[in-house]
Amino acid sequence: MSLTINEPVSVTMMYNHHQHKTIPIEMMWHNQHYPITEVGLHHTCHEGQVLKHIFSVTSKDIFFELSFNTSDLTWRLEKSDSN
Amino acid sequence: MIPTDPLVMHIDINSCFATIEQQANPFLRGKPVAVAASVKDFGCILASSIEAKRNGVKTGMRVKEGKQIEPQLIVLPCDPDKYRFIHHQLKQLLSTYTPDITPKSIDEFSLKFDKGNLVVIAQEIKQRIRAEIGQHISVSIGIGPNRFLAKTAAGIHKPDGLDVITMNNIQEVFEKLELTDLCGISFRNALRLNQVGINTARDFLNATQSQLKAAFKSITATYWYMRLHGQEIDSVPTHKGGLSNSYVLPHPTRPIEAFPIMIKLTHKLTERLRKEGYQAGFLLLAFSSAEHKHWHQGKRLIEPTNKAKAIIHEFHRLMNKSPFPEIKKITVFCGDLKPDTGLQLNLFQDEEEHRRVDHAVDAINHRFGLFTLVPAPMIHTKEYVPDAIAFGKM
Repeated sequence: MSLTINEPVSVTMMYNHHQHKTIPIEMMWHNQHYPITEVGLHHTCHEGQVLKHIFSVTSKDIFFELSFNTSDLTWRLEKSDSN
Repeated sequence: MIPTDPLVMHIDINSCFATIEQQANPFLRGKPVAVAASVKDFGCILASSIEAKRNGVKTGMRVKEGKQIEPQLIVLPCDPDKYRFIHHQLKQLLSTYTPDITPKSIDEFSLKFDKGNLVVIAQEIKQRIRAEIGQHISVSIGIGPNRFLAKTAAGIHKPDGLDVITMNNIQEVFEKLELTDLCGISFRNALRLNQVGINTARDFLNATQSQLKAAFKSITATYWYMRLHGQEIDSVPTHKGGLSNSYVLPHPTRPIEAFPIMIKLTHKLTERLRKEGYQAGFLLLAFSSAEHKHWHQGKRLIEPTNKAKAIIHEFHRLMNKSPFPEIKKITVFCGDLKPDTGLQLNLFQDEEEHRRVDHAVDAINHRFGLFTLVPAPMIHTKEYVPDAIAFGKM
């Protein structure tokens, strides 16, 4: 069941300059580490003039939607869904 | 006889919204998924995944109906940002093959080529979509001598089809199609054709101009004749006739109670009018009742406008003429669009003030997001009229 979380979260990113790809590799939420196993989709959207990068990812059998705010450089966990 | 080579390609993302959701969340792949305007029982299903379609869940059904047919159905809310993003990514990918691209809707593109082996290009496009946009995203591609036949070819095999209609195989292809399989032939048009002895798609293809004239009784007959014989008549840019917004209410509501939602729809509409640089010379308000009865009333304006207050005022007047004690759906429409040159001088000071207020509100909402600043009657409408993609639009 999909849950709206909307909480700040810590995320480790990796940038590969050969593939020109930036992907989240680990998330820490409520003192628990979640290694990212798959990035299903990366898309962008605007909230007013603020550009946000949305990463739809999985960690083992949990789905997360993470958003990166390019205005204040912060991450939020928007949604989660368990398989 | 088809006079031209098949140099038009039609690309259609299979089960677009549902497929994109399955791309985003790998746990949804292989499961029956539907994207709906609202996830509640009354919500309208906008797209269903291939797995849901196989079990009979169709676009346009209510969520409740879909769950009755497929109890395992996973219903998701619409996420327009995601779908627009994929649309733009696909457009960018396709632009590396030809500059002549026409987006036909959020999930369909028409491409025109001057030369080349389009089957080889189509196979490469399919591979690149999976590699660069998403491994779960599949498209059906049709190739033909004009847009209509290319679209027809794209509909032959779904999902992940690749078909070509040429002068050599068109009879064979149409043999397997129903009249209503053809884009633009509705049930009513099929009845018209039946009345002049055209009962199959192949009869339609082989019909004479005079037979088609007898059926359609208008210039449409000539257009159909040209379309069916491979001539391009659908590449003319269409003129924007109007803008509209509509919303299905969660339950039957008295018009006066739905007034704040109508204000919200109108603000969304006038914001679009101003953003696209138009003024409206004609307004139309339409209501549908829970019993599927429809009512509408129009009003021609003396002075075209895009001011929210003036248009809300007119819609309020029209609303009072509604015969329905309760309504289920509201549609607001602005037509007779004219360019807003900004040169019209206002005789009255308050007109100018309204214009400046609208522009100030637009500037704030552009910076912080739509509906950041709203008129007081709209305060309790936050959960209503979310961002949406209309059928056939971007």
